[in-house]
Amino acid sequence: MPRPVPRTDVLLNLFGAPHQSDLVTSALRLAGALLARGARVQIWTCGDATRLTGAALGDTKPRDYTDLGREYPSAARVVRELIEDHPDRLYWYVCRFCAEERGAADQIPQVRTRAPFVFAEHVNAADKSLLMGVC
Amino acid sequence: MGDQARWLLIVEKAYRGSIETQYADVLYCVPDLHRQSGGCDVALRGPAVGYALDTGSRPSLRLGDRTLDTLPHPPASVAKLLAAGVTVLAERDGLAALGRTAAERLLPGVRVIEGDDLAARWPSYEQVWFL
Repeated sequence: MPRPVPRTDVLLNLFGAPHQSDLVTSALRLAGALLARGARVQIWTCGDATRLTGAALGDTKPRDYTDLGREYPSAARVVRELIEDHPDRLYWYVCRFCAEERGAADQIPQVRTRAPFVFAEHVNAADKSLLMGVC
Repeated sequence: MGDQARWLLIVEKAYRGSIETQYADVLYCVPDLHRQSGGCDVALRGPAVGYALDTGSRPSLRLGDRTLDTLPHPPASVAKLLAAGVTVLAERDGLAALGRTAAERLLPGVRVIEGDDLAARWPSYEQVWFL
């Protein structure tokens, strides 16, 4: 029996690719601000944005060879911690097709992969839907 | 090595994802390229000229209950280049686009060039790369 999509105030569709602009940072800031105001938020990633939560990223970025003692969190860890800090209010979905196409099918356990043909269920489960970037 | 061995590295695209990038911005590898080559000059154009401005302390980002204090800090990256002996050039047009007071905030050691100057310099470099 498929799990129903939890009702949320906002759906952020993060379609723009990481490492191109500050779109991902803006999306996470927006999500953080919404959560701070008590909103329920879901995020759906498509395209290269599906790599943000790839398990292969691990918890930390590669070592900075100019500062070996310093640790930098991976994007996957930043997302994981945001989800863990907001149980039952933040849901992160990953387009399975996009992730598989990019070799990122192995995702962190805090996110849920979904088939693209159920995308409309997520739009319908949110009061507002915001599209950020293009694949 | 003479000027013929120098490399010109041009950066036009700026701000490529703060959370994803952190320390590994576009300038991160330049000191190493400088060491491995006959020397590098970095030319900042358009929005990337903003990298060479003093913008104060490194910004941090509050996300939920946590603070991310490892975001990129382009002026620090440019300062590392200058300390490594890399020549840093900033196009005047890009500087002007950042506001009337931008020139006053330019990091010491960064040289301002006219937009037409850059292409005229290309033949004097062994390599010209857009980063």
